[in-house]
Amino acid sequence: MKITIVDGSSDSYSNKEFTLHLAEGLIDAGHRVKLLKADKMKINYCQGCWSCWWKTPGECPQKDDMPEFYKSYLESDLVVHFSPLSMGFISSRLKTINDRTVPLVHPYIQIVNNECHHQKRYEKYPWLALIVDQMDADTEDLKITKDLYTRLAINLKSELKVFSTTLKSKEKLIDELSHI
Amino acid sequence: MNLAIFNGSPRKSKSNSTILIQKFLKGYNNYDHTDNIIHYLADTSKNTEHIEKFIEADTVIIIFPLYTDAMPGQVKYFFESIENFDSSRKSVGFIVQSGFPEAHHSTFIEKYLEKLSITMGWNYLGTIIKGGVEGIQIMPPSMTKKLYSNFEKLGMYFASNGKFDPAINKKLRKPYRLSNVRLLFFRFGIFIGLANFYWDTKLKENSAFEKRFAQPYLP
Repeated sequence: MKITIVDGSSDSYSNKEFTLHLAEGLIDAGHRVKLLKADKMKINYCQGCWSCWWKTPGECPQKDDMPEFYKSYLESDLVVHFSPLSMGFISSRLKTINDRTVPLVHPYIQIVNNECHHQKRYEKYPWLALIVDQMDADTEDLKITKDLYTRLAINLKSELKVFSTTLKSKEKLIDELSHI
Repeated sequence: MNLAIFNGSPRKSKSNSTILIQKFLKGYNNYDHTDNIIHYLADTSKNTEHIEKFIEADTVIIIFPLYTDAMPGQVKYFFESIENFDSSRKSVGFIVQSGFPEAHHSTFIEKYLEKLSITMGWNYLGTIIKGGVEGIQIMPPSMTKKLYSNFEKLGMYFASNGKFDPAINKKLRKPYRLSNVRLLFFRFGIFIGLANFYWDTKLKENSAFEKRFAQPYLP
């Protein structure tokens, strides 16, 4: 599989090697892996201008490193998000990347599961996985985070295939990610 | 009360969140006049000032648009920046508005906001949810009159009671989900192109209609 790992941790995060070791393990298991570290990329906040929907359809006008993310995202079979939890949810860096996925879908509305959702812009979208470092979050925070990502996956024309914490062994994580 | 309002819309003063909170303040000021209490969280360079205003206030309202099923990144950044300050016993309420018409979409972040309030020791004032807000800036006054009136009443009630009016919150949450009749109507609207009239108008205004299905990041 082609896998993109998006590391949303900050520079000060203590277990900075986690995604690197995960990427190495997935490569050893036969996958093609790209690791994107959000703190090494220039990623602006979404401005809410909707240019990507009604001025330059599908294209964000901001000049930063997001095109690298978009291209890697769309050519992947699986995108693995990683973040330490803070204030009960993923980092603001990773949340900002999620906000910036708006150009990947179409503004037009369709009915999915009897709800309004946006239509797809591309033929194929990757599966999603989320791995979190629980930090001081409790089980309710984990459930809320998983639920929010399950919802995100619907809007990204995908499915949350794996949700896990870093407490799971690297071997088990790689096995789970390899068998989605 | 010492009220501070934080607007988490990336569009700042030009946002739909601004329109709704201004209607709220119109009602609020009938009872408790307050100036200059809206702070825009998308001005992340003013983060230190935002923290100060948050700490000073005894009552806080945070309004934001639903962004990819949760809060915008700027709002999460603000939450992270107040993590290490003692803000317990503060009364905090939230207003979440979305483009999707159904309130259901925003109930997942509502659970987060309630849990965050418990974790932080805040007196949780609840979350107002309002769907179908995208497009209010181009709607004729007849279509927004009821919405704006409800937000004004919400502000009046808040000024005299220090909390959201549960009856108005219940009203604003309609539709929670689309009824079978509305689903049928919506599907028909999609079929004939009426459901996307707003987007088509904007695309045409920007001479981008022909390119609307562009795939610029195709690998």
